Amino acid sequence: MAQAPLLAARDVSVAFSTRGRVVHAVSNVSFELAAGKVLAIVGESGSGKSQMLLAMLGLTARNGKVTGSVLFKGAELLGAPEERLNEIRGQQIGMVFQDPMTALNPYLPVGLQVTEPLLIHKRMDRATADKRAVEMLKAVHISEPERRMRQYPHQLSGGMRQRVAIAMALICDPQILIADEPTTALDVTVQAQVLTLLREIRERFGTSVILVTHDLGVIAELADRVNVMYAGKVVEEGTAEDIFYRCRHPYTEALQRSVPQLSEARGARLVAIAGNPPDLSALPPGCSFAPRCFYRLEKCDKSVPPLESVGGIHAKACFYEVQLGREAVTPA
Amino acid sequence: MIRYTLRRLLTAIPTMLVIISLAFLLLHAAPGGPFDSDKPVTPAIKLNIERMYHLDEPLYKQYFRYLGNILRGDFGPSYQYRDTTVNGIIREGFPVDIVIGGVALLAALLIGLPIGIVAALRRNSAWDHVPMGLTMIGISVPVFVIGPILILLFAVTLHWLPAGGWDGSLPRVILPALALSAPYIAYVARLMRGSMGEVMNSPFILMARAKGVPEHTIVLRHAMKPALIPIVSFLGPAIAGVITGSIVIETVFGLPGIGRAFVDGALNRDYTVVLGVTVLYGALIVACNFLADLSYSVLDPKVRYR
Amino acid sequence: MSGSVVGKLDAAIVEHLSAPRGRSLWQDAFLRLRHNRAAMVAGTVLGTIVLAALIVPLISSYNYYTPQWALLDTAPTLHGGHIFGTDDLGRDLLVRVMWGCRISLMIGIVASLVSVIIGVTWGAVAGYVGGSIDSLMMRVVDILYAVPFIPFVIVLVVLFGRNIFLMFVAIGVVSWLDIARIVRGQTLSLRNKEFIEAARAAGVRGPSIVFRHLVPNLLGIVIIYATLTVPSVILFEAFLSFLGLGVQAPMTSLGVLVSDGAGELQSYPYLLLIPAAFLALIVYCLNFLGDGLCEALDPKDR
Repeated sequence: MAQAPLLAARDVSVAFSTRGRVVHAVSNVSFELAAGKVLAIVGESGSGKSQMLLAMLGLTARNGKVTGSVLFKGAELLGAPEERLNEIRGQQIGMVFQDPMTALNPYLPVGLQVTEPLLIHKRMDRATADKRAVEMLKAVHISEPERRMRQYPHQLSGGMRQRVAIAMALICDPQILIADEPTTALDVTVQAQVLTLLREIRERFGTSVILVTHDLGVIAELADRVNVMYAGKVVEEGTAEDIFYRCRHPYTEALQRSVPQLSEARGARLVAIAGNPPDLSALPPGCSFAPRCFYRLEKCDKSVPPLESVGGIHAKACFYEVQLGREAVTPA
Repeated sequence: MIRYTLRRLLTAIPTMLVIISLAFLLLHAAPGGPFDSDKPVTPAIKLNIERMYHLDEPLYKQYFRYLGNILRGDFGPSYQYRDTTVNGIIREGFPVDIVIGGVALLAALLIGLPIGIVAALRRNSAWDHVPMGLTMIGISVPVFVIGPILILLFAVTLHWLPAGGWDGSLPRVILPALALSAPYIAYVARLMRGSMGEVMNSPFILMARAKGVPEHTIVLRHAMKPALIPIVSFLGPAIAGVITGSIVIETVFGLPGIGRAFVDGALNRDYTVVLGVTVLYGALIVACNFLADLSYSVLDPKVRYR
Repeated sequence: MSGSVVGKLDAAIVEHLSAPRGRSLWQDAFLRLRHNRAAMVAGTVLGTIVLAALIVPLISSYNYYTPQWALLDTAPTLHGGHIFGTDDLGRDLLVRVMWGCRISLMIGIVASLVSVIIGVTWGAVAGYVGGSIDSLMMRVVDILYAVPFIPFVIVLVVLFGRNIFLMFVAIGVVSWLDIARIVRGQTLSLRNKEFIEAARAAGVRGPSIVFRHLVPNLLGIVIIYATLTVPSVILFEAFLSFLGLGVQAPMTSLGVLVSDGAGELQSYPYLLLIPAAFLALIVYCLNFLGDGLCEALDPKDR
């Protein structure tokens, strides 16, 4: 141990001011990513996970304010000058977005988009870059890569587009791959393919991965560490096993329970989490999950529970002390 | 792609027919004939004149005769100026309009596009508000006001440029083209600002940023094509507007173009001139819209492939 | 007078306005409009001009048509009667300009109303009925779009004489095409939206559906469009007057005043500059208001 993490985020907060209101998209989030590991960030829409990623790369919208620290190989990313950030983006940190339909430029041929990072960062000439791009497309299992290079995004299927996006993100051999909900916009069969691809990448290239998703099944296969986010805060973190078998936060438990299992009785009701996601501009004074929490205590409404370790790297931000989860006895 | 082109062409034909027919009907439906304002003539001579110009024939016959002539490219004789044909008038006057209109549009693009792009990239800053406010003036002040003011400023006070008239030389083109281009500079700038602004907020631009592509490359390589699409669509009606705007410009600056011929013709009941110019305008508009549609397919690959 | 109005009403607004929001959309939009300082200033200036146009001719001791041969072409002076000076027939320019504003605004509003009524009816019918009737109606619009209308209007006015009624009709008939297209598109998409189905399922009848559900959603766009059409109509009328085809003397409009003044530009520049300033100001403010409305009703603009 004791090797400095590749990426270390400390107390990162992102707030947006619009028309007199302040929206706290991310509140005091910290995490670490070690080389060659996969970190999964779980949460529903609006939990701030995507904003967290954008903030790291300096891509937050103009009306957003980012505070805290993000150290990449020891150097601070937040507030770094644009030239420095541009060197890192696409070259040392590659990013894949959720919707391949909109992430690829519909007006430019695929080949140009895939080779672009090489042309810009490595200053390769066209011919070499094209060759590299074809190799990359082959590596992500795209058929007829030479032909695809000349085509436009709308001529490719959704799964292919996502794979192109992954190839684009990896083409400069980045040390970190950030994948923001890479499978959400795809059908299940394609999802499996993409996940297999990600696993392959981690094994072949040793790339660290930050995987953002709201799908628990995805994490089970891939993650070394998991952060669960709710309303912009980290509410639980740990290994995949910790989260699945020993979860300690009511939200994590609720997430697990809302996924229907094949072993459940037929006709059993689907479990949904009661209530609505909170308004990020008007967060309650205590725990943000309290209004929807089954185990809510009085002090949950009054103060924000701090993130406390419960063994190893497993930590929770909850006042409730009992271990939860499917195996635990849950009030009917 | 070919089917798309053909379909566009096919719509053009009924459009032209409608234009020609409307113009024809309007002229002949109105009270008064082309020779009413002339010196009073004996009825016999009047009949002869009418027969010479086929005006004694039933309306539908005149109509088909006219259509036939148009297909052969002959717009007929001018009723007002007995020794010239409409084709002759057009041939003399049209080049003037082409030059001035062309320069005006060029100016609109060369000046308006950069203004719009900068305004979009620096939204809500001085680079945005000031040019947009200024260009609004271009839209609000009519051409026939800008024209005289420009003349007052540059010709009368500063003596830099001639006040009007035409001899094909560059100095005489500048003021009319400038006056004509003023609203178009404004339209292009505002359109580009909106369009570029929208494109820059697209997810694929965010993706390009996440790849580390520098800002100027993003604007030129990634954003330009989609941002230009509304501009290209606008060029169709813009060319039409420039062409018909020539009517005013010619009056203000004393230019011998076909706009002038048209107004004279209208005032003097010179049927053929009015018809000819109207049909010409219509054909130009149809042609320009068609070309704009075609170039749209060059910019948007989704139209091109499948 | 090109397709610029359509350019402003992009698909996003159309899509957003079709969402049934009831009154909160208007309240929200109104608040946003309030925040838009440029639009508020424009509105105030416009309001002032309208007020002046209404009041000044009533209280001034001069009228717009009586020549005063002793006072031809006097320059504007602050003291002594003629604040804006007099024109070439000795008529008080201030009163004439105010009358000009009245007429121009009236023509602008009425002609816009005509085009809105025609356009909305055409578009709504085409969109609601659908099918081949819709195709036919829209074909007509497409073809008319290509017609060079300035020459046509000129021909119309020259041939049928210069009366104000004809000018309204001519202008209105020509500018309804844009709004027809937009309303038709709106109606088409609204027709299939769930809330219409729900209303029908709840037993609401045809005309009720049209009035209580379709119209409020169309209103937003129609208002924006009308606000942007008025200035272009005013300019077009000015253009006609400039060509000598507009309002008849001694009645005046801003276009007539500008046209008269243009002739005397070198000797008496104020005859052009003052009416031109008013014309530009009115159009400018209307455009800003229209822009403000567009932004207030457009959800994407933050």
